[in-house]
Amino acid sequence: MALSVLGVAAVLFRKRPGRAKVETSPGILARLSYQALFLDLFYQKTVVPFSVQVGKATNWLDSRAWDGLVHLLSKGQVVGAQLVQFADRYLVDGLVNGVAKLAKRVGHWLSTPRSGQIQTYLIRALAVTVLVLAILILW
Amino acid sequence: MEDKLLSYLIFIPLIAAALVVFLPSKQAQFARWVALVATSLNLWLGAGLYFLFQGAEDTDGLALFEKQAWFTLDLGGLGQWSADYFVGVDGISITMVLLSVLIMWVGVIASWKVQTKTRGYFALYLLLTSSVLGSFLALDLLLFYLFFEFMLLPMYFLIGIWGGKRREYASIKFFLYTLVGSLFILAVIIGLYASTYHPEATGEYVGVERTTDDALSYARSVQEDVETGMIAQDQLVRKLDLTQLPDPRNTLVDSVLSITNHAHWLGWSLRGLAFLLLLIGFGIKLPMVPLHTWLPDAHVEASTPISVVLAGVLLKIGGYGLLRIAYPIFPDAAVSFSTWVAGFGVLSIVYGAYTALAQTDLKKLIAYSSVSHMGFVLLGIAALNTEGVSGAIYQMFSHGFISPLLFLLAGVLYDRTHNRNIADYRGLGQVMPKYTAVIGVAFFASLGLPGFSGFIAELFVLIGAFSSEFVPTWMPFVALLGIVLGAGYYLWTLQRMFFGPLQLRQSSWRESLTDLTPREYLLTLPLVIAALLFGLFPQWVLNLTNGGVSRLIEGVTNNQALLQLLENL
Repeated sequence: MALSVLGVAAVLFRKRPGRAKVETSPGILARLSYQALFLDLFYQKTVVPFSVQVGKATNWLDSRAWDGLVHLLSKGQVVGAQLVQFADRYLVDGLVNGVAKLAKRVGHWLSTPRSGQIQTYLIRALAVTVLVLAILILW
Repeated sequence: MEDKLLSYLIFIPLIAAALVVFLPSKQAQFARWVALVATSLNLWLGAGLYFLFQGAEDTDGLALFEKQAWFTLDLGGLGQWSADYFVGVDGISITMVLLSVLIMWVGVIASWKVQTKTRGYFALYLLLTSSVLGSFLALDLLLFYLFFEFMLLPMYFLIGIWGGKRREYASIKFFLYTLVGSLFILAVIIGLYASTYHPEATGEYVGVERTTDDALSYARSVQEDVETGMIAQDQLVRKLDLTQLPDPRNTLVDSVLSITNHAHWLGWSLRGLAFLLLLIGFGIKLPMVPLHTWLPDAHVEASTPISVVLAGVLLKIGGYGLLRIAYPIFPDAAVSFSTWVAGFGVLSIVYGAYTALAQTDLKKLIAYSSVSHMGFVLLGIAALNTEGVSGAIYQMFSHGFISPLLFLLAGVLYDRTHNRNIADYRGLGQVMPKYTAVIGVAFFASLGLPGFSGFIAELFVLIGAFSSEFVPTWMPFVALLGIVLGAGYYLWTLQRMFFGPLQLRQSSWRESLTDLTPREYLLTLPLVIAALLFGLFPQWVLNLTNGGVSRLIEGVTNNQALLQLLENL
């Protein structure tokens, strides 16, 4: 049954009466049909360029936006690391060195006016005590 | 032999790696033979595992397992921390294990021409093989994490040393992305450690008498003792056993990850947050848009065999992790996040497909097609029904040999001209007809043509998503667009590169553009046959996974109901 149907179809196809008709009298419907209702053209002008443009947009988003964000985060980390390094060198180290320098300066300052006179030392000690007491009272 | 089969799978490559390291430098060329023997042995063991697995699943779904005490630590007031070397295979992992042994074997043959630092290359490759298999076989979360994390090291060097021009950038990006994901997973592991206990180990530690041989009844009696306070906090044994962690009864009341803990952080419940961290952690590995940008760079810069392994096996650990850890342990959060997971899946499908359409580099196009195909895995998992999850596993399995096939074929062209730019070729079919035929079949297999494995996977995922109560109906409709776009970028590439008159950017390429060699046939044909066979006989895979998937769905559904009950108490 199927073979006989195929056979009839093959014979009809070989004769192809419709094709000659289209060529000789192309009406609107025939022309539309011949151009597959212009669907290919429609797709070529709309769906295809739209898809390609969206593809380009997502590719841009991927390489610029997402990766850009990741790169920005990475650069942020590098900047952060440099800030920490600065803080480490100039604040933490600076504080430690500063305390050491301060101790040295104070020692130097205290040792410079060394006169050997006991009265001078007593006066200075008294002055410092008065100053400390004044601060404590006024606080 | 059967008792230790799973350990052999993990340790044969590890021992081979050690052998390769100690090879004298004059014998460096034997490194590839050691690797081939080791991976061939694994392939043979994998075939044995396939036959042993049939109908051998026990009540827990494990067909084979091995358990050895690893370490124990007394924590004083917190009880005891114990970890096991616990490996096993069930319906969720079997396909991944079989896929791994095949792809790692293919990878060795693809690496045959590696000439620089041969010993280092194959030692790292074998180390990677061991880590990959360990990840799929581990049933202790700590052991899983160890293997999962260890994978980073060989991959970092394999991309960073044997890669392309921007290999340092790609390897660091891969490492950092995956490390961030790993840390998210680690945070959840710490939370689970603080919140759960192992009933059987606790019972044995305290000395609860066994009145029955049934392990479940014993566990229940210990759980009751813990609930009533008969077993104190300092008598609990904490163990991250993946077969026990999903049971909500093993979570301590009011602990960090307890359902009764109503603490919130930024509006998220802590369980929801833990699930989200796992989703991000495994989503990076999968990869899930927008956490995917490491993948195209890694693929483009990695050598062909490493791309094969990356696409074939490594990405699957992301999907596997969601199925093995995130969904069973946090079923409540999984259900409430399902729409989001499905949304990320659909986003990955469409975004990956559109971006593939815009690519000019053949390898990058395949990389983005991977992003798109892995989206189906997320969509299938989110559906939380047998069709969806089976489809997700099938997609991982199917993509596991179609994607390596595509990367191998991209590598064939690159070997000849050192150029992968799509626009630089036209009419390749004229000079490489057999290559064109194979790549044509590979493209059709990847775009999900009926008759190939990809079709079965995508069909199952879509049916699952359409029938799921957790996935809005519009999502699988949008996912269909991904399939159409897939056909678009593959057929367009086929048309541009392979059809029409021969046109090459450099005429000197004409001499080097020879057709497939016997070695290339050996590499590609098994994968083509696999794509075809598993497309025609899906039952071969479904028979392996069905029990595991049913148990997973049942477990998630039951535990979610139990959690709701506990929350309302």
